[in-house]
Amino acid sequence: MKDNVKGGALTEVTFYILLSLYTPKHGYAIMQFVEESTGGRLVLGAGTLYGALSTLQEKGWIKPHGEEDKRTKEYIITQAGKEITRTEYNRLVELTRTAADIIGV
Amino acid sequence: MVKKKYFAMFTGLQRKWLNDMAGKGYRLIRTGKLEYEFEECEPGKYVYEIEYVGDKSYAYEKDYKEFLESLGYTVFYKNINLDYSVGKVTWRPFAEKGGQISTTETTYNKELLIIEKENDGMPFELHTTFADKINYYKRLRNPWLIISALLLLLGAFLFSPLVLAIGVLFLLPALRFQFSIHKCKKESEGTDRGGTVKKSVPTAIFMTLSALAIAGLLIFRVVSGDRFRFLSANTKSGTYLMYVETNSKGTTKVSYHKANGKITRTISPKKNSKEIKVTLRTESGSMSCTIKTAGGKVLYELPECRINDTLTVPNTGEKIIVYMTFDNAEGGFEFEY
Repeated sequence: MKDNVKGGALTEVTFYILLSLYTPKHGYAIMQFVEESTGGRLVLGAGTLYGALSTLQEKGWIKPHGEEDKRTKEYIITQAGKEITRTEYNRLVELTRTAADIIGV
Repeated sequence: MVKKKYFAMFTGLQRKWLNDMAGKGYRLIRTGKLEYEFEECEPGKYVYEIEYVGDKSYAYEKDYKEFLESLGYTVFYKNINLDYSVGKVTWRPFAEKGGQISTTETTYNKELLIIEKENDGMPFELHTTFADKINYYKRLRNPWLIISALLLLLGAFLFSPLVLAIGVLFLLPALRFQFSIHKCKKESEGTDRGGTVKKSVPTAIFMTLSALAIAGLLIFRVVSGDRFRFLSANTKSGTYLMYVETNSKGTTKVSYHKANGKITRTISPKKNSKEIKVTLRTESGSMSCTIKTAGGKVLYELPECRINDTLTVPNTGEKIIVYMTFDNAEGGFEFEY
């Protein structure tokens, strides 16, 4: 699935990274957040994370944060990123509500 | 401290070897062109991964290395052992911007990153989403496709079975990666691939054009029967001569336009032929010709004029050498041997 601003779904990886960056984090902390939040189900490889951070930066949904210290470069979500996250959240709520009605959870 | 030499054309083999060494209790501390330096450590304490970055710019590689180090990994630069470069500059048509011309300031001799982490029991994977895996396999596949295509093009042009065979050989790793890509696509069909699968557009265009050219050349060769060449030859005395040459069993036919200067051809007669026939045909301009044996004995000497003649030399098993000097000539020559 492509990450699409107009009504498309975000990938799980993208969504979790955006959530993790509501507070500033460096790479390792992002990996930990995602792993803990999903109970070990979603594990981000370093290569995948590097690519995702580049893409999200290009899209303007995250940006570098804090000091110029290269060793522990931190990122934080942008306003555009927060908007896209909220949109995605609403989409997921609608999705789970529909599912709950049908499946009966 | 242990030094070992290792050569592998594929990153998979190198990765396996490093992990085997780590399993025995050897930790990598330095990399050279062919040799690796290890120090002793607890067996199984470390695990290794290898990432190909030869198609990326140096800026990307450096940034990626720093990112990996920020995660607590140890990262080494490593050269690939398959060097298809001329001098210190390598041209990579399949690479991204900044990676296309690789020099000592770029990823030359740093095409690989060897990444070490402490073994935590989990498999060491750098690419964990299907989209990312597919994209990485494509990056590994494309160089093999390009090299193979270039070799096949050359082989089709020269109509050389050897070059064609090597071209096909280089296609095999590409097919292996393509199979991996296919597997990933199938497994993740209809699901969230974790990203966008990138299309290698320049490579696709290049491969399509190459395939058409290769097919065209091969069909042309097969249809035209003989081995057939269009060449602009640099004769021994530095003259340029445009000629068309066909070679079939025991015959060479050459037609040329505007020949100037000297050209020398050596004829090795076939064992069962009685004689060698040299036919010279000058339509305009003039030429002179001397035919000698390999030993230096002069068999024929024709002064400069418009030669239209067939000269016969009995086959003594010895090679004969035909020396021709042209002056703005147009015509052809034929050898039957």
